[in-house]
Amino acid sequence: MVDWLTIIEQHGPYVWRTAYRLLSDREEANDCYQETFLYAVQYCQKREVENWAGLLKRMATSRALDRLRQRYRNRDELLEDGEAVIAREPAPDSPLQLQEWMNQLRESVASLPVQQADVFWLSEIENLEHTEIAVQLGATTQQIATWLHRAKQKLRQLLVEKGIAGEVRP
Amino acid sequence: MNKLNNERAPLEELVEAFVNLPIPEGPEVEVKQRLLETLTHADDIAETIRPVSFWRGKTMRKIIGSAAMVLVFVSVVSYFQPPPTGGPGAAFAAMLREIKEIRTATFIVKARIDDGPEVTGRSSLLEPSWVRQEMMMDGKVKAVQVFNLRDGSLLSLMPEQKKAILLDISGIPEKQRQESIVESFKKMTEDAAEFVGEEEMEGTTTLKYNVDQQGLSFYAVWLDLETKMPVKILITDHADPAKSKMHITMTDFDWGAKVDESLFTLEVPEGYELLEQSLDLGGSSEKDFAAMLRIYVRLNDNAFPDEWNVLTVASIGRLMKKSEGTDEEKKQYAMKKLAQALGKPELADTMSQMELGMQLQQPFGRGAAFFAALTETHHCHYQGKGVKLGEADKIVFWWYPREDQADEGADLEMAHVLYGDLRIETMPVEELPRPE
Repeated sequence: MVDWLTIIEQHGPYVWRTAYRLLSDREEANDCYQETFLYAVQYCQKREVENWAGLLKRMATSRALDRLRQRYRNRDELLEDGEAVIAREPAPDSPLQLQEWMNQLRESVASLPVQQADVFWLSEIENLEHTEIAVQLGATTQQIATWLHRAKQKLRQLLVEKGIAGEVRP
Repeated sequence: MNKLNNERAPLEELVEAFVNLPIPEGPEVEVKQRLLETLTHADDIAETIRPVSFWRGKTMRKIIGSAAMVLVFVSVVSYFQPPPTGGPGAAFAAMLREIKEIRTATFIVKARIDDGPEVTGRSSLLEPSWVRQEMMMDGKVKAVQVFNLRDGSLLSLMPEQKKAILLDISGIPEKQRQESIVESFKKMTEDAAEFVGEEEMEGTTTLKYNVDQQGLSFYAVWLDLETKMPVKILITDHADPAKSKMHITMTDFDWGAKVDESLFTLEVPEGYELLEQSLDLGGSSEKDFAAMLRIYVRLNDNAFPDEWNVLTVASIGRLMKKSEGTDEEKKQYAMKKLAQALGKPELADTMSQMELGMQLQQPFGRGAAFFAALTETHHCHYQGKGVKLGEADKIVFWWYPREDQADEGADLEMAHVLYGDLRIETMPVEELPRPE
């Protein structure tokens, strides 16, 4: 019997942070938060959970990235239809230009191949060890390193294309 | 972070900005409480709270819906919609309490896809598992369907031709059996809808509620202010990534109506010629999916559709439709196209529309079953827009296991890729084309 109260108290805060940091929208973050735990229920019925922190961070990241992808797909459809884009909540105390760049990075990460996006976010933003990410994604640490490398390469290139960063140095 | 004030910001500085991003407190206390309540009962009601179960149930209903739609070229999807969830409302709660006691109901259902022709049916429900639907055209009953939802059996009768088709659908997992609209409402919770306001409807004051079904279906429900029971339900299906939309309107409800229970039977009336069919949805494979695509694409002048979802399947009747000419010419046109698509020289001239539809039942039922199951457990992407049948270098569809859904030992790094010539190969996930 899983002690969900303890798990929510211990791990809920960073599930929320992960969801909100990626989605920058309270309502969506709320949904993502709940969805993450519901997926966790399903997961723990199949397998024993050895590291709740790693599992929930990974699930929150995956779910939030899925929502971001959906958001940008919807936006692109709206743009095709000539409709306006819905603005997201501004990050408190962040300069407007920075917010815009961060949104560009969100979009760029969402456009990466799924595994690269997961690895990049978990490693660079959520600060998970490569060994832990490897366990969570069922991959080797070498693969994680490769995916992270490729993700960064692509992101740097995308930031250049968006005019945010300078030319990529070889 | 000084550079962020300049025109250029490298990746590392944006990463730092994300790490240091101020995050507001959250989630709300009620969200946490609701979640905790759900999780606390997880072991008891695991199957009902699992998001995947929800999708599976919904998906399976769509599979059955597709099979039925292919069979008669009309939609009975209203019976296969999932129950709405989420939002307060005393009248709504009263309706839910009332409907729990409902055993029978009759209503009129109208269905259409986008701006296509509208199909009208008169429906009767006998809980817990029977649905009878009479499809109307020009004021006459053209077809009768009796569905035993529990057994997955469908009897279709064509009174004018005196023909009957008994379809036995097997391979549906026990937990994924479809349910009637009444059964769906019985499963709703009190916080299922958002109150919109009062509306006058033909002299009756109604309370309108909206339910957005997680971006997939939109429900509008009008309750009679006095009886608190639904007088109209409008369902708009906008399943991602569909652009086509199914519109289903249910009106003229008679809740607790007197129905002739002897009509809810799979026994074939005397004088009808019976054709028995079976549809096994168990163990469908990627080959079934490819076979279904082949038929569809051939019907579509060898072009892959722009999108692929359950509504794509449901709209297949359009591909065989000739807009002008006599009824006989239209039928001949449909038969010729279908024969081509099936790779047959010709089809028997005596076939009815329903029998023509049955030619598609097996490949589409099984193909749709595979596709629906796949979308629950795999990352999938369809990109067939603009691709022609035979273009061996063009990728039409790819999929690979979701890490949280994969079976033990599944290869998460290898995707299956279906090309324009319908061959299926594997490819490292890393090399998949990025979805646009």
